[in-house]
Amino acid sequence: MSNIVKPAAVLLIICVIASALLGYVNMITAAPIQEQSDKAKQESMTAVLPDAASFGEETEVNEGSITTVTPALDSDGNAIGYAVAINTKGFSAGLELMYGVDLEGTITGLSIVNCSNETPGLGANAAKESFYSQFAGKSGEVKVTKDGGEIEALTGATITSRAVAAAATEAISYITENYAEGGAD
Amino acid sequence: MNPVKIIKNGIIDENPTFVQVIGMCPTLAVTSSAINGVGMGLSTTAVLICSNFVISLIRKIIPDSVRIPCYIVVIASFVTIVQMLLKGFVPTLDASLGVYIPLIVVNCLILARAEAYAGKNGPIASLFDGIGMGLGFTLALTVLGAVRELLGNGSLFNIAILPESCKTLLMILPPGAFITLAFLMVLVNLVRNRK
Repeated sequence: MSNIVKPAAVLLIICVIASALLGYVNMITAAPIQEQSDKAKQESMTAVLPDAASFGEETEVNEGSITTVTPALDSDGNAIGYAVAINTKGFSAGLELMYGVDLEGTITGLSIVNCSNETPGLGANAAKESFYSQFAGKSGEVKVTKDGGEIEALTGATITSRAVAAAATEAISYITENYAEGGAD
Repeated sequence: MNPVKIIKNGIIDENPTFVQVIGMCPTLAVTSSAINGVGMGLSTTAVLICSNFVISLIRKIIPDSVRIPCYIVVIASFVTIVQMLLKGFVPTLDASLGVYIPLIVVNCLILARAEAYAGKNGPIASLFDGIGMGLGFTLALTVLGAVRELLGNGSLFNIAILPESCKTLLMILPPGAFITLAFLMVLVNLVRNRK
């Protein structure tokens, strides 16, 4: 009997100590981690909507690949556009993008929040300005040149490029349907 | 106990990648550039040193029958703590190393050293074994990453070296990892057999 009880007891004690330690570290780091992720989000929102004076409350959307929508406000507190956070699938899952869309449904900017799961040297090149800056000023349906659109796809990474373009179309249509001037706001 | 000998053993005589051939998953997956190799190697080294030391300290109270679960709890706790601390306090380092840290938990190199060395030797010797094995792993990953980055992307540590026309895309993709590893192993074995 004791050759079951003793190992189990030792394992239990080690697990309890490890969990206590993890709980303690989590307590210390939870606030700074939240702060860092808010700051990163704020930075990419400012990058895609440079005209915004401040940002309003974000709304959870979770529709398609759109996760949240945050209104961008001018100095009088009027909405001038929306920051649309997207979590989509490029060549692999976890491609995180942030689009700025103005009230006319035109993209004001695109920020690649996370493309570290895309192939290095190919899809991960989406983080280069020469690629993502093409999206500013686009509206309606956004497509890569191969599909008859205007976006120059990344060399050897058509799938990633298509995913970013499709996400742009999704962001635009969501904003025009739900928030555009005279719309459901 | 001879620290220099233990470290040399980890880097050369029993190099985890080229001689023991363990930890192949991160080795093949993250070495698409030299800097990735360095990042993965050094974060593994840090965890390996800590886990070897702690496991060696508690080796006498761990019953033989539950040693593997105990090792895994210790290793996973270390990795999680390192990840939380990096995320909270050193976000720049987290941005460059963040993707590798969860991969360390599943790196059998750390479990293998706990089982083969730290569970049988004193804490200080285990500490040096961690340093040696970690550096050996870092060295192997960096060389592998450097070769693949140079041939596949024409650059080394993100500095462009070869002209655009010399790039061989295949080397950055998964097959490139296998091909490079095979050639490096041939080289290492040639040198070892000559001795």
